Amino acid sequence: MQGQPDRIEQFEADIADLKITDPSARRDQLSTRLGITGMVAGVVLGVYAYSLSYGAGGDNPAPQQRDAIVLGLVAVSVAVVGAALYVKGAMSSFLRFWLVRDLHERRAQTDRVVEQLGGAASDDPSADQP
Amino acid sequence: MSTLLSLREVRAGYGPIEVLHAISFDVPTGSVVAVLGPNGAGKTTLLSVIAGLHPATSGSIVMAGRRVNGAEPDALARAGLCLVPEGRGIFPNLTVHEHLRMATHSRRRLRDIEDETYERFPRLAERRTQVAGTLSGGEQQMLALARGLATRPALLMLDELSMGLAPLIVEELYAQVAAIAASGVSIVVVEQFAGTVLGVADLAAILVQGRIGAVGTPAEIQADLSAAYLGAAVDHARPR
Repeated sequence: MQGQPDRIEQFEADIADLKITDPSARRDQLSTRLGITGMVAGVVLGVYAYSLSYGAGGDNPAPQQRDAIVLGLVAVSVAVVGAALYVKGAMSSFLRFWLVRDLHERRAQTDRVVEQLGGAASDDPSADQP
Repeated sequence: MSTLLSLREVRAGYGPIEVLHAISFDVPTGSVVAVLGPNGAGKTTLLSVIAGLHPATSGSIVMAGRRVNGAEPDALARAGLCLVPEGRGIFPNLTVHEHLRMATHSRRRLRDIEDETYERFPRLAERRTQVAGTLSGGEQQMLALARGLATRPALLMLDELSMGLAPLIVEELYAQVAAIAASGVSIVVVEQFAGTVLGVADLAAILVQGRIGAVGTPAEIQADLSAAYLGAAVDHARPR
């Protein structure tokens, strides 16, 4: 290994130059909460847009109804984006849990195999199993 | 001696399940630190947290004097942190030569990498064109180690180096670990079986159920290993 003191100095310099963002261990939770908020906001906005369109009166109700239509479309968009965020957060949490469970089971299986191979290898200490 | 890696009250888990409970220990520059513990103690999670592969929920991971919580694992790897994972992480369909060629991303010449590797592990030179999946377990572990070393790490982390290997091969590998440490690389070794690793370690920590039971010299730790593994109190070594 060449120039290890230099390597340590280089390591310190590289670490000092790292761009580190704040950790977001609860990103999934944030996504789920934002999603729920979006869905609720979408429904509320939709109801408001509906009442706005029916409240339009006077000689020329068309502008207010057009506003209500735009607001309704925004409400649908907010609800759809909220639903997508919720599904993303929920699926991430579930898949992470599933991955950890799978890893745990694989490791337990590996331990069982190693244990069995260990018993066989103890007869021949030079044996090297793949 | 300066400290290359320092963990302060680090907690981590999976969802609501906390796996590491306020872990604190230091890795002095150029030393070998062994983290010992039974299956399920949280050893692999600890390495994943240090490598940036798993987020710490609280606490500080300080590397070369800087808090690196939240750093991307590839950025840490580029800086000089190398993790040799449990299960070796080699590609079974690639040859030994191709594995070493992958390490040229660290801007080293393939020839230099190969010379260094084959000098350190002559058995890999004999298997140069052989696909890794057909190597023996010991040779696969040598390849994983060689691939890590090819990146010129400043901090090397080894996860269960001895897993599935015969005792003679484990001794051979740990002799290489001692040689690597002598060249100035700081090493964190996680092991379930303490026998061989304590012979090359400068410091050792016992990790039981996500908590550091004791930190001390190998001699101090040796006496408490059985008690720690079986759940009894650890009295002699310095508690953390």
